[in-house]
Amino acid sequence: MRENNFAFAVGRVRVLETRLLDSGKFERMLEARDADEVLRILGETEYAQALAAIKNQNDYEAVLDYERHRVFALVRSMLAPEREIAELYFLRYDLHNLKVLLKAEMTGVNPEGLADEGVFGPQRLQAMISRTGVRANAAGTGTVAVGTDLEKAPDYLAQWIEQGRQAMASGDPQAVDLVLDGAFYRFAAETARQGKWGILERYWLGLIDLTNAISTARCRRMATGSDFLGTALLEGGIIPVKEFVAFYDQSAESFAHFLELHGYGTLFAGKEALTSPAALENAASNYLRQLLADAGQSFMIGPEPIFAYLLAKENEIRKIRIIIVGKLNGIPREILRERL
Amino acid sequence: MELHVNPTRMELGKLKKRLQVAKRGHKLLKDKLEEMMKQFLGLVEENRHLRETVEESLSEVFKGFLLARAQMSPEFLTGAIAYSKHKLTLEAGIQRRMGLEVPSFKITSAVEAGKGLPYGLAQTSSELDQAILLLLDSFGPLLELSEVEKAVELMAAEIEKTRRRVNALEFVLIPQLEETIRFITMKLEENERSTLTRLMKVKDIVRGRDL
Repeated sequence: MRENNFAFAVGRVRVLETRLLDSGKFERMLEARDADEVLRILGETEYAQALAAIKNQNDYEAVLDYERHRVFALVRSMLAPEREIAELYFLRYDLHNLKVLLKAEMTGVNPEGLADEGVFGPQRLQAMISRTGVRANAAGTGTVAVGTDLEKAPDYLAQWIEQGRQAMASGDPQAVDLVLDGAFYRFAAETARQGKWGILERYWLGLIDLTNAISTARCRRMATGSDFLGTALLEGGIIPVKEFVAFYDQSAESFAHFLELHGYGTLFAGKEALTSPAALENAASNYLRQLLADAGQSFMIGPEPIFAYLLAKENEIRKIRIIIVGKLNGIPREILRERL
Repeated sequence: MELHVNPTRMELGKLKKRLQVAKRGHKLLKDKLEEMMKQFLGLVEENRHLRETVEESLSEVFKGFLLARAQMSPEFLTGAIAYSKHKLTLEAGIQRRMGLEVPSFKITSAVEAGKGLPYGLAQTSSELDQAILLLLDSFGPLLELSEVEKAVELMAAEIEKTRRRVNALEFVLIPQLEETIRFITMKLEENERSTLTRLMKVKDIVRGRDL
């Protein structure tokens, strides 16, 4: 990694970090009477630019989208010297679009919920998956549908499309999601390991472990059975999948102890994470952000501070959305505070 | 007001029979009304209880969706739930309650818990799970509520109809029949007395001639 490539970008990020909303601002937004007042408070911050650019200022989702697009574009330009790092992060939007497009094709309805972000974008993905012919698959055991643009897709994406198509045969939209999630996170773990990205490698592997921990907690709550858990878990993390499956029937305390042994003890600083998957989600998200924030402080120059800023900004947008949706629907402050 | 009928013995016999039938019908309808009222009150209570359960569960569902909506961006939320994996089978039939035909529904799903979610777990919020599963669980009580509400509606209409019939029998037909029977009886008695008087008079005249 050529750390010097990031000298200017990190300097810029240090300034942008000071513009992130602090706890005082969030407290004011929580105490606001209604969503309009929240938007007025946002007008005093970096979001003023987004509010000025959006015609209907009450369309909070457009304001948040604008801000997200702006930050993503900025981070992409900053991470340009190490394109892979940025691409891996934004690929999750392509993964989402791919799922939507394949599920829409499977169920014969129009695709809904496509995201504009992503490395490829929905139009290019659509062109890649549109069927115009067939060719023999890589193993030579059958055929796969090919689109005009599938040849232009990188190998990993072509593989995902093929795997997604095979899952479509089951007619189950969840199967498509599970297969593509598995493929994406395996790819992310391999890319991060091969790239020797240091703390960013730790971030991706930790993300897989914690996603698995949350999935285990969700499956335990839904009583899905350990077989289903086995199919929902992601390969490629530090903790082997079979260890999570073994803890399906164990008590919440022993599950917490198991995660503590693997270095995720801070997740359970608050006891809520033991019983509530939503609280565990929050704790996991905070853990990963803190991991990068600490790294951002230690690594004076490198991609880590930029990545930490990206996560902090996404989290900020998520928190603003929680507050506005809560205010619009009269969700009590205490519940909103828990989610923040 | 009595009925316009000829005051004959044959008519009287017919009217007495009609009165008997009307009184028996009135008693039966009154019994039916009482039983229906009893069942109606039970149904109303069942309906209230079901509605409370369904409203409580739906409010939890909406709260879950709201929290999921707050946690996830609109694209990810829409993408997760736009495509359903559930194939629910709804059997609609008819069941009889107090002679009334009320609809009956039965819903069946072959999907196991957890596997019923239409999305993967890696890119979705756990808030959504509870909302989706609770919504699925709410289908049963929701259909039961629709069944019971329709039964209440139909039974209320039937009670109203029966009450009108009971009232019509009690306050219109039976009094009319009784009045008419009384009128015919009086008329027949009058005729009888008149004939008797005439006969006595004729007898007097005949006896006078003989003397």
